[in-house]
Amino acid sequence: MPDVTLPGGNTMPTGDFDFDSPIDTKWRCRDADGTLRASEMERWIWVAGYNDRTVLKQFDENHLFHKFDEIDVSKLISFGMVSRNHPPIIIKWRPEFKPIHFYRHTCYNFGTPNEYHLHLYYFGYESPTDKVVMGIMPDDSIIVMREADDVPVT
Amino acid sequence: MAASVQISETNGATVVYDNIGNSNMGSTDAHDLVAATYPITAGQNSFEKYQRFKLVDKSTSTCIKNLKVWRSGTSIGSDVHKTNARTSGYVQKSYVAPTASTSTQADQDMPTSVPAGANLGIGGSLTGELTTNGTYSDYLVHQLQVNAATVAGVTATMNYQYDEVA
Repeated sequence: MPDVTLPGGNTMPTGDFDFDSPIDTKWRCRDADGTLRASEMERWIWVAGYNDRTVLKQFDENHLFHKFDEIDVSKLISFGMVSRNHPPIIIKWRPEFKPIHFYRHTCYNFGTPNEYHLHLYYFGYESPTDKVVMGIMPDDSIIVMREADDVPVT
Repeated sequence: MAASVQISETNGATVVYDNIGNSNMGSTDAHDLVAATYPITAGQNSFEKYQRFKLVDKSTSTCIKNLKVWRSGTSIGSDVHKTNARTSGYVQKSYVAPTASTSTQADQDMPTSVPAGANLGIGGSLTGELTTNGTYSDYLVHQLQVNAATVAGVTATMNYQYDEVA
């Protein structure tokens, strides 16, 4: 397993992010068809550190939202998640890695008075010989798994 | 950023109702039915449910995928809850007007915990993706088959899960 930097001691580029940016509360991205879309800030966002010391952030300082497939994997030296209230979680990258990032939405007890929804963050990497997925829970605790389905969350 | 996703139900002669409010099973072919108004007689079946995930607006996301459905709650005793959802040997089901006869579409027990992988397909594949607004998953077909000796009052609830790539 590569170095995964948990709270404290991170030295990989994360591009310090200003979650309190006062410009406005919307970030924008342009679809392939040119449609401009607005997006709300997420509680956790991904950051991709490049070998030229630049950083691509899911939500950047220009209020542009970047899609996961915009990441230039050939330049990656780090990939991870940052949050307003939690130290960054950064994976030191290796060339054979493919990044993983998605949201998992669950509606429990659909249509009942006990209906509730969970919105979880998953990220990690996959290589020809290894796979690690980290799930960020609602309380910001982190579960490390081989597969996202290894630990059912209820 | 989150994509907008709804549960849709189809009834009768392919009448589609998006954004249903519940998945109550009963003795009529209707969405959002009141179970107390349409109780299922012991020894009979509910009408089949034909439900789908609908991608209403993907917003800034790329796709949704990895659809999972399961039930939870108290034991339903000797009753059985059947479905077409499965993690292996999956076959896409076409819509057929729902029936209260024993379903030939839903022939496997509904999972009682979150499945280890997708169990409802998109475009006939468990690895399919919804990428276009207004599109639907495959049909989730399910039916409650009530035992003749059933006890009134047990409940089970449905859970729906998907992954979103942004």
